[in-house]
Formats: sequence, C-alpha cells, structure tokens
Amino acid sequence: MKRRDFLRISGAAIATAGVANALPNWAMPPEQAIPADPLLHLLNRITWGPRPEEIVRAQAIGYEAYLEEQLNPENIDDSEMDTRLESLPILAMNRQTASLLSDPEYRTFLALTEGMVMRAVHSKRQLSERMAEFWLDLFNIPSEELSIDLLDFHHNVIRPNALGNFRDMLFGTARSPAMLYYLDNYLNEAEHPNENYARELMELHTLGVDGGYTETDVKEVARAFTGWTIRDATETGFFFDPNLHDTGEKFILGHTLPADRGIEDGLQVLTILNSHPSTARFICGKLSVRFVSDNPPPELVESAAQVWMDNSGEIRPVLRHIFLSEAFRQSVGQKLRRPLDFFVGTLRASGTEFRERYVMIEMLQDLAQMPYGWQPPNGYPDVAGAWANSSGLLARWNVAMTLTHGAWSDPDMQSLMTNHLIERIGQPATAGELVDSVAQQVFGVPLPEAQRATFITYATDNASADMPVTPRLLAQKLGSLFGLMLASPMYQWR
Amino acid sequence: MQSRRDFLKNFGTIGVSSALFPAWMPRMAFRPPNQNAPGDVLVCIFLRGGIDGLSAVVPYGDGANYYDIRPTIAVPEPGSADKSAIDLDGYFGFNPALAPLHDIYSAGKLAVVHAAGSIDASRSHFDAMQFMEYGTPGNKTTGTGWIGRHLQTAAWQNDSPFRAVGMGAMLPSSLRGSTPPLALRSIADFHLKGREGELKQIEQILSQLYATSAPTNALETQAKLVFDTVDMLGALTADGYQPANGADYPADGEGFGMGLKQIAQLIKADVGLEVACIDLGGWDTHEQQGTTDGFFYDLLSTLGRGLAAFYTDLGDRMNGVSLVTMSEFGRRVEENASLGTDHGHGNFIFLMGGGVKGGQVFSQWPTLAPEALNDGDLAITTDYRDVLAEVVSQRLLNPALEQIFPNHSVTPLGLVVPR
Repeated sequence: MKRRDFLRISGAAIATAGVANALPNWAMPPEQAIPADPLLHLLNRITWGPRPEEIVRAQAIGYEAYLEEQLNPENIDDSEMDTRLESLPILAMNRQTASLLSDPEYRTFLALTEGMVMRAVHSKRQLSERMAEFWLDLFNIPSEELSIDLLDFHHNVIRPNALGNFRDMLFGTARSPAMLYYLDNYLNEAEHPNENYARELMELHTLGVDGGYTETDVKEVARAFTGWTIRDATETGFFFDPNLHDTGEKFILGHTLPADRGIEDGLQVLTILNSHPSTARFICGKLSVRFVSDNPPPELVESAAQVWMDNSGEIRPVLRHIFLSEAFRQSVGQKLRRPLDFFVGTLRASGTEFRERYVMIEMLQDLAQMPYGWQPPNGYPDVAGAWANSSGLLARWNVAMTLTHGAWSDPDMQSLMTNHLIERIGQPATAGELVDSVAQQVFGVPLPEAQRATFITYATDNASADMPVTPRLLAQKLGSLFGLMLASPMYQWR
Repeated sequence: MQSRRDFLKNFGTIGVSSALFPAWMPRMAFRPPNQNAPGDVLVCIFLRGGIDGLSAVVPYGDGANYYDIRPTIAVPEPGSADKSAIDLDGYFGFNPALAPLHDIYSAGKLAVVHAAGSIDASRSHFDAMQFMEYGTPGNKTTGTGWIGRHLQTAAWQNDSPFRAVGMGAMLPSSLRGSTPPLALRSIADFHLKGREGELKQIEQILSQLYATSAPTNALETQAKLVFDTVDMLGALTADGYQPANGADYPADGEGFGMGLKQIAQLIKADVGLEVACIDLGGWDTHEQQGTTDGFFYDLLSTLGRGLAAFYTDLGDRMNGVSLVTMSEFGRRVEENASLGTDHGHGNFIFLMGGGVKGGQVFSQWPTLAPEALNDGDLAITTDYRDVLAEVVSQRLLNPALEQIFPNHSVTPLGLVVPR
C-alpha cells in the first residue's frame, strides 16, 4: 500500500534536468594533466585515486599482474572493509527486514549513500567498486522513495554481476522490483501497454538509440513485457501475472514471437537483446568512454565489442582488452574527474573522515553528484562537457579547501570532520620536501617544476625551497597545500 | 507515510550550508560591465521529460476525439466541473493549475502556440532534447546550441560574465557555443568559502594555477568566469532581495521559483544578462499523472505560479524581456492503462513578454481526429524554430537566422511586435 503511494509520485518524477550527453570533443590540454607513467595511469583509472600502498603494490607485481589482481576481486582480502561496513547494518538487510525500520526509505537512502562512499574510499577491490558505479549509471534508478528496492537491486543484481556476465545483469535488472517500479513495467498490461520500460531497455540498457530498433519495436516489446509485475509477498518481489499478459503474436527486431505464450515472450526479448551486436557495441562504447576518453577511437570500441561477442558478454575479458590497448595507454590526462571521483579521491588523499554525516551529504549536493540521485534513466553524464562549468568548479574548490585546510586548522570544522594530514607526509625537512611529499599523496608523483615552484612560493611566502619546515609552517600551510593541490586544474584531469 | 515533498523537506533540514561555512569573501565594488545588447533579454524555460500539452492547454473543442480517448485523465470542459478548463478562445482552455497566467493572457502579454515542436520523429527523451536544444532536428552532431550560435553571431559586444546564464548545476546544450555560459545555482552561495585573511591568497594561487589571466582551455575559462562573477555577485545581496509588486514565487522542491527570482534579480541589476536558461523537470508522466488533482497538476501549478510571479516582479521591465517555454515532445493522445501517457509528438509553447502579441492561441490545429494523428500522437503544424526565429530576429535583433537555424527556411508567424 505504502509503496504504491510513493510511486504515484516518483514514477512521474523523472526530472531530466540539465542533460548534456554526446558532447563534442573537448581538446584536453596536456600541460594541465600530471604526466603519468603507464602504471600510474592504470591506477588513476581503475581506482578512485590511488593510495601510496596501491602504487607500491602495483610497482612490485607489475602492470598486468596488478590488473589481473583487480579483475579477480574474490581473491583480494577485503575484511577490513567488511568490518567497517558493520557500522551500516541496514546494508546487510533484505527488503522485508529493511521495510520494518522506522522511517525506512530515508534511513536506507542514507545508508546506501554512505556505503557507496565508504566502499569507494576504503575497499581494496577498487576496480570492482568502479564497475559497480558503471552499472549503476547504465541501469540508473534514483533512490528517491525507492531506497529499499534499490538496496535489493544493488546487492542482488549489480554487485554480484559487476565483473560477471552481462546476461545475468540484464535478466536480473528486468526482474528487479526497483526497475519494475521505476520504469513503470509493474503497471504494464495487455490493455493499453505502458511503453516506458520497453523503450529505455533498448535505448539505454542494450542496443543504444541508434542500435537499429523502430517505434514499432518499442510497442511490440512493451506487449512482450505485459504481466511482468511485483508481488511483495514473493521472495524476490517479482511476479509474472498471466492474466495481464498479451498472448498475441509479436514481431520484434525481425523475430516472430508465437502466440499463446507467457513469460517466455519477455525472456526471449532479453535473449535477443543480450546477443545483439548493437548491444556489444553500445556497452563497449560506454565502457570506453568511462575508462579511456570522452571520444574513444572507434577501432577500440569495435575490437572490444568483438571480444565481448567472442566471450558471450563476459565483462572481464572486455576490460582486460581495454586496459591493455594502445588507445588506453595514450589517454593519459584525458578524463575529467566527475564530482564523485573528485570527492572520493579527495577523501582518499587527505584521509578525512566525517564526524557528522550531514556534512558529507551536503558536500555531495553542492558537487551535484549525489549517489543514486540522478533522476532520468540515462545515468550521470560521463563527459567533461557536462561537468566543466563555473558552478561545479567553485563547488570543487570549496569542498577541497574545507576537507583539508578547514578540517586541519579550524577547531569548528574539527567537530564535524577529522583528518590526519601530518601522519601522511613523513618528516620533510624543507619546504621543497614538504611540497613534494604532499604532491606524492595527491598525485602519486612529484609535480612538474612550474607548479612545484608556485606551491613553494605559497608555502614559504616567497622564500626558497630550502626554508626549514617548522611547526608554525605546518600549522599554517599543510592543510591549504593539500587543498590547493586537490583544487588545482592538474587534479581535475586523470 | 512519507510523500516526496516530505522527503525533500527532510533533505532541507540537513542542509545548512551557508550557516556552516560563513561567507568571508572580500568583495569588490560592483562595476557595470561593457554591454551593448540592443534587444530583449531572453529567458528560455525547458520543461524536461515531455510535458503533456493536451492537459496543459486543453483542446476541449475537439469534443469526443479528446474525451473518448482519454476517459479518465481529460480536463473537463469549461464550467462543467469543479476543476475544469479555463476558457481561452472558445476552443482551447488552460488547465486550472494555470489560473495565475490567465490575467497575463488576457492582458495580451502571453501567447500560446499549439501543435508546435521539433519535427524529428524521435520519441527518445535524450535525442529529442538534443535536437531541440541544438536547433537542428535530426542532427545530433551539431555541437553548438541555438542560443550559443545567437550569441556568437550577434553584431554587438558584451564582456559581462553574466551574458549567458544557466540556472543550475549543469548547463543546457542550447547554450553551447563560443561564449562561455555561467552556471549559477545560488547568488548567495556563489563565493569561495574559508577564513577571512586567507581567502585573498587562496584566490590568488588558484587564479595562478588556472592561468586565468590568459585562459586557453575550457576549465581555465570557467575559472576566470568564477572569479569575474564572484566579485560582481558580492554587490548583490541575494538573501535580502525583495521581489516587487507583491510577486510570490513558488517555494518548490525543484528550485524553479528560486531560479526565476534570481533571474529577475539579475535583470534588474543590469549586470549584462542577455540570455538565461532554467529547467523545470518531472514531466515524464507514464503513470498516475493526476491531471487535475495530482502530480501533474502540482507541477503545472509550479510553472504557472512561477511565470506569474516573474511577470509581476519585473513590472515594466517585462517590456524588454521575451520568455519562451519548450519541451522535447508532447505525449500520446491515448492514455495508457496506468492512468498516464507515453511519449508523443506535438506540444504547446508559451511566449511571454512586453513584445508578444498575446491573448491568442496560435495554431494550425490539426485536430485529434484519428486520421489527423502522427503515429497516434498530436501532429506538428508549427516548427518550434519559426517561433524562436521570430523572437531572435524581431526582439533580440539578431538577423543571422541562417547560422542559428541552419538548413531551415523560416516561416514568419507574426507572434511578436518588432522591437
């Protein structure tokens, strides 16, 4: 009952504010990105901002072995992460248990948001977390009033399949209550079908808008999914109601679906879409934009799609292909960090932890990339053109300075958040060493000479790099050195 | 039970950002920029998600062709029910949620164009928005927006950082072009945060790192825009802004009323604003749309009250403003089984301003007769580019329509008084 009332509103609330997709090429100025060797480049893309221990590990075992390690997260001990997650018990609940909480939607929403940031910051299975984010964008569902279903979706559909087979992911999303609600298929019945899911399934989840389907296909696919609905009493929440199903013959993408069938219609549509070459191309294009560049070379997308098809939609071989490609190697500094990348990277570099949860939520709102907060079904934009604007840049500066400088030197801020910058920089003797040491934490490498000089001038108030580091200097400048490096243009590109 | 509004309210209680991080930004005295735009200020409102135009501007005159195909969600004929259409011209009527606009319509400052839109057949939100904002239906590789090209081809100079403003965290594609648009969420919060005494130095280092004295790329250009703007916004006291003439902006969760209020403030401040864009989303009403008593009604009411407040607030300055609304497509004429509507085609456009020949529903109305429909949807008889072209050439005084709407031969409509 309750949920129906939520949805009366949220189904309609697909606010599509400010969508900027498929933007033209933005020339990336190489002088703004920090030069990275191939290994650091890999780390910059498969992690949420590499920690020094990850750099050491990767250097010890080498590029391919590190990639393999991250591609096989089940072999990485992440027990510290599990221990941390015990502070968010809601994340371990199933739909039935979570719905018994008081104020369940709101508390589940907070746990989901906090859990996403916590995992991104602390998990050793970094690539796996990045892929979970990728799929949450591809199969985007906003949390608003759907948090309990989204919790179920996240844990039973997205996470288990993040590095698995696309087929399992696709079939899982189609039957998940969160998706059935969000795209209205739970209301789709033979008499006057609801086309919302059918259209987005082909446009956004599989074929892509230019993938070769027609308006007639949309209407026919909607017919095929009539009766796919929800019964809260069933274990998964999914229920096929044969009484609501259109049993007539259907024609979809050149296939004839015979009359007098039931759930087989929808299943066959998913099978057709899963094995369609447009799907391979579309998802590989999305992966290439996410991990390589805003306008990836068509040859890379094509060859990745071939790997996809040769491996029946297995994700790992496709990712391996992309990360070992020449196009990837040549893409240093070509991706703008999205606001969430920036935020998590800043937390990883500074070690800031929040004492008050609302501060984190507020910063994510200011940065305009609240996890599970994108209303339209196409997911947060993934190209620089959508994010490189004045409002976003100012928000990044303020967040960087607050998390580092503020939390380091301002007693009021310290009641809201803490960091341990001093423990991260070793024992620098001179201002030059201090700047290098902070740069190592932020960028993983020393700064180019020009930028290094700017920071030394700032740290020493126009004195030289040899100036000795004093407690007074650290008190005044350590936080802002971290903050300014994180706010710099060099840090925005990776 | 928790409604969406409550949820947003919950959100509100945890957001106290201006109190938490006080503003100590040193602010320079306000300097009027070099600005020579001779025409109207353009305000462009994008109704994202595909608004149901048949429920906003109701063709009750179509009779059975409208009422039979929408047995449960139609708006009743004027005078026939508690919440029924407000008559405009004997054929069309406003949804009762648009009551605040009726006086403006009667005063001749608001015109409705119906059965308008982008002629491409796409029913995809994302393609249809792109086509519409680029001003090139069917071509999504254009790369620049129609407003961006207007600013690019204008014969005058305007160095103000406020020349083109997008209200919100992201900029609409229509603004893409060689003039860098400013993305602005809140005048009050648009400043560097931190401790007095340190901010000047922080600003100086950032300015140096971003090479704002001679920006050579997108990020640097945006950084320069931030610094230029922060100084000027410092002179505007956003929290203390009082709308004129008792104008009452809606306090909606989407920030639409707040955004319109800030546009009005920028217009009155004479900071060089030429174009402002703002979105109102949430129109993708596939289910339970609530035409006269639910979600759609409330959202439409936000639109109506917002536009009316803007008009009231600006008073005489409305003579130098042209406001236009658009949406990527209309919705299917036939309602679906879930008391909502699927993606459709033709839709309405509002034109508001001192130079508008208002008080009319302008339409070559194709009717809702089954044989007149476009694949089940309202046909388009007025290309939205013709409406915009008229505003651009007659009110903004830019004649470069071949660049702004390439490959389109413009049909004059006579909807505005030449400026």
